Amino acid sequence: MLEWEEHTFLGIKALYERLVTRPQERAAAEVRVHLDPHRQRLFLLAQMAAKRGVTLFETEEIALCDDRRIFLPPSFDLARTREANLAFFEIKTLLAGLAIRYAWPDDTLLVERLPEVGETFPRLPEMISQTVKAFPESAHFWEALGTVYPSELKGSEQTGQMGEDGEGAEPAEAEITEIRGRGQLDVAVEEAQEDDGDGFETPIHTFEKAETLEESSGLSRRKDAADELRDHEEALRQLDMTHVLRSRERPASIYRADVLLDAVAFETAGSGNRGIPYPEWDFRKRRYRDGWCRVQESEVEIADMAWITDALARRRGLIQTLKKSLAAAANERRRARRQPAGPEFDLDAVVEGQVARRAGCAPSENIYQEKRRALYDIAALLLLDRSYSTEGYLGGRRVLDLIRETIACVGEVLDELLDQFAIAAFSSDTRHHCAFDWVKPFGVPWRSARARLGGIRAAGYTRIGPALRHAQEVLMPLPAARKVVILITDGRPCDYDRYEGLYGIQDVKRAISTGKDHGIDTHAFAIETRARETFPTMFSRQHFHIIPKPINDHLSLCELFFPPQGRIRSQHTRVKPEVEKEETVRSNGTAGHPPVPNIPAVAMLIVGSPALYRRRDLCLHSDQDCHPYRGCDGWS
Amino acid sequence: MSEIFYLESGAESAIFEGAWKARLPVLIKGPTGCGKTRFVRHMAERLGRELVTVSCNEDTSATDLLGRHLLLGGETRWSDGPVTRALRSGAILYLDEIAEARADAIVVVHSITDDRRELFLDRTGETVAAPSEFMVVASYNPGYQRSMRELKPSTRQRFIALEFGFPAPAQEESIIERESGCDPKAAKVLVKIASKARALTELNLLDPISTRLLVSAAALIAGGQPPRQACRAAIAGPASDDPDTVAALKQVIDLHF
Repeated sequence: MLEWEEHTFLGIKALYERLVTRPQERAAAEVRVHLDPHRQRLFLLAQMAAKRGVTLFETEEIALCDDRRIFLPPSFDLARTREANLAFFEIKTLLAGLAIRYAWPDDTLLVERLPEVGETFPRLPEMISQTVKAFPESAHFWEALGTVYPSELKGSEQTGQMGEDGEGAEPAEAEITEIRGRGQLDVAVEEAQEDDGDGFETPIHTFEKAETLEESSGLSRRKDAADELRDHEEALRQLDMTHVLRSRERPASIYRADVLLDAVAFETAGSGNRGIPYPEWDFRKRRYRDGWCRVQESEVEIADMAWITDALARRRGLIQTLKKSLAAAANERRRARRQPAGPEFDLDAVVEGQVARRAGCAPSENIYQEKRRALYDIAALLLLDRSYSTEGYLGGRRVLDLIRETIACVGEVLDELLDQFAIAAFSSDTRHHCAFDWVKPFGVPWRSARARLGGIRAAGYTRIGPALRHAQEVLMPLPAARKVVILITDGRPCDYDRYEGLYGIQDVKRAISTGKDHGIDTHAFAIETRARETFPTMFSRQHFHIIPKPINDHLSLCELFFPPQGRIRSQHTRVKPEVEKEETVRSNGTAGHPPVPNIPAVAMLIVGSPALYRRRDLCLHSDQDCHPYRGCDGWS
Repeated sequence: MSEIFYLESGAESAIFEGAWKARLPVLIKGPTGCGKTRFVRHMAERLGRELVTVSCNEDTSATDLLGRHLLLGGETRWSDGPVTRALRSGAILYLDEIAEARADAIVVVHSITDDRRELFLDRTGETVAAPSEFMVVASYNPGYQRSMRELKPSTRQRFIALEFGFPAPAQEESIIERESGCDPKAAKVLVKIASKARALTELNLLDPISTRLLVSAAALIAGGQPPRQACRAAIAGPASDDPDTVAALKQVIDLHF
């Protein structure tokens, strides 16, 4: 039973809320401005004010900027009007941009900088004074702007130097955080308990300078951020694993070894019906498991302008090289003869026409020729693996960085080459959570999307099947003559819930062949030499490329996308350029697409081989709505 | 005295004139709207030569430049192309955006840009020698976004090169003033706006805001349009098709007028 005081209190509280708190909240909600819809515009304003690449960083904390990021709140409602709240976002962005441009120190009082501001943006001080009026107190405005934040970059550099303990830094050595162990059979797997930081620790014997690690029996060491792997390298090489743990936690370092797991089926809890359902192929039963996987589609949220500016600047030479080597392929034209209209005469046809006229017959009117681009009408989707394994190192470089920078270069070139291309990253965490994150969806300009490449973070596992199926689903309705998925992965399908071995390979294979039947071609690049084992099974010959080890530069990776000129064919050594590629397209009837040309190797990659140029009519069903993964059982 | 206005920003006219006297071809590099074509017109007038301009595009072929046989009734008749015509008359031949032309068209200029200075027309079997007043000028835009064309070194190294950028602020102001007749204050602000927008160009977020756009904006202002409205129409609109970019540019314009 409640006492009368309590009733009274609750009554007054309710009254207070109804009369004071809620109207305040309602009023705030009415004038509140969210960052999201204005983000792109503010981003551009920031670049113009700072005159260099800066990134917008969404945070609740009150700070202005550091040396490359501008901090903005997700929403703002301190001012009394909506306009003033929006203006606050704009003012903050501009001031922060100026702070970065002129490198204002940490203790800068923004009010004192107004003359300088007026110098650059004559109307900005006026805009500020008007906006301040809409705030209950002018101090609120200045406080909400925050101050220049000491640069995080400087901080980490300092600690990095401190950490070396005065020894000569050897960057090559510091970078190794992956160690390869020997293969192992009969390993039992246990699920890791959440938060077991205080659990038992694997015994590590330390003798003077040598450490040994004899056996891991499923006990987990306390996890910490320190990267000790290199110190234990020798010891780890001797490691005998009888039990291993599976954990969702992100590893600090990677110890890679082949293990054959005992046959425990992992069934993981689903999260209801979130996401788009896709079937998965069970090769043992030779049928699909309906709606087995759920794909959650989203976008990479972080756009790292500074990263992309930096990456593009560093790779400018490479991009130029690529563009040059591709110019020939991109601009190659083939002659279509005997057309009813065109910019030039087809002399053969003209002569024939004259002959026909003199002979008293009606001459053909198709006496023109025109040239058409050989690379036509293609939609390409680049699908990047961003599973944890991309945190590994290859030739001293993190695989994920290698992939991202390569895609940045490739994107620059593709942007000029193809009208329709998209980039997405995928990862998975059991069949219920297959993430498909757009970096650049179709239709979004490359220039405004590319900064998101810098925002890709490694996560989860490599369930290739659902990602491929979703990619096909996206490509299918697009109006392009050729559709291609380009898959970049570390080579093996695997997921937490036993999506591995032959099962995974067969599922991927099935997805690829289904796509092929619907006119979608798949090419794959493997970043690991060991993919030699799985790739030939998954992909038909000539549709996979394994990146040889070691990779020292991006050129070798990019070359896979765009083989260098020599291998395509030399532009300058051709004897009769025109005659060689001439092919006749008759105008009568079916000249909708020119026949598949003799495409150079680059184009092979992007265009796909002529044999795969198939259409939907391969589907057994005559039904128009027939679809590979939705309600058609023709494929099962 | 010259009729066509051009404000010198370096020693370019002296170099051009020297090249003409030495019978050297000139290559002009620079972004769109920075005054390349204006400079060539100005120089042609100053040297008193006829100017033959060819705007190259990706379909420009050797035939388009040299000439072709036309069909007249049952007969064919040879018709000179612009290059052949300029050569015969000793004019200044201006190949605008030369990198856009097809490889076979670019190679055509090889024999007239080195010391041979003659052209062989394979269709008619004729060799045309260049008179001493004849000169080849080519322009191209190395940073052009949508073009992946680059000149081959064998072509590029036949020319002497002049590199054009946007003029320095003070010069750009006087160009705007002179071209549009607007007042100096407006010209100053326009240049300020452009300097901010060009930061986006450097980051590849925007096609360059050219001097040409600024002159158009100034002309609208001089014609009595409110400055804000004029700039929105002449700068923000043509600079980009992306709504966010246009909105951001408008905002920057509003912060100046």
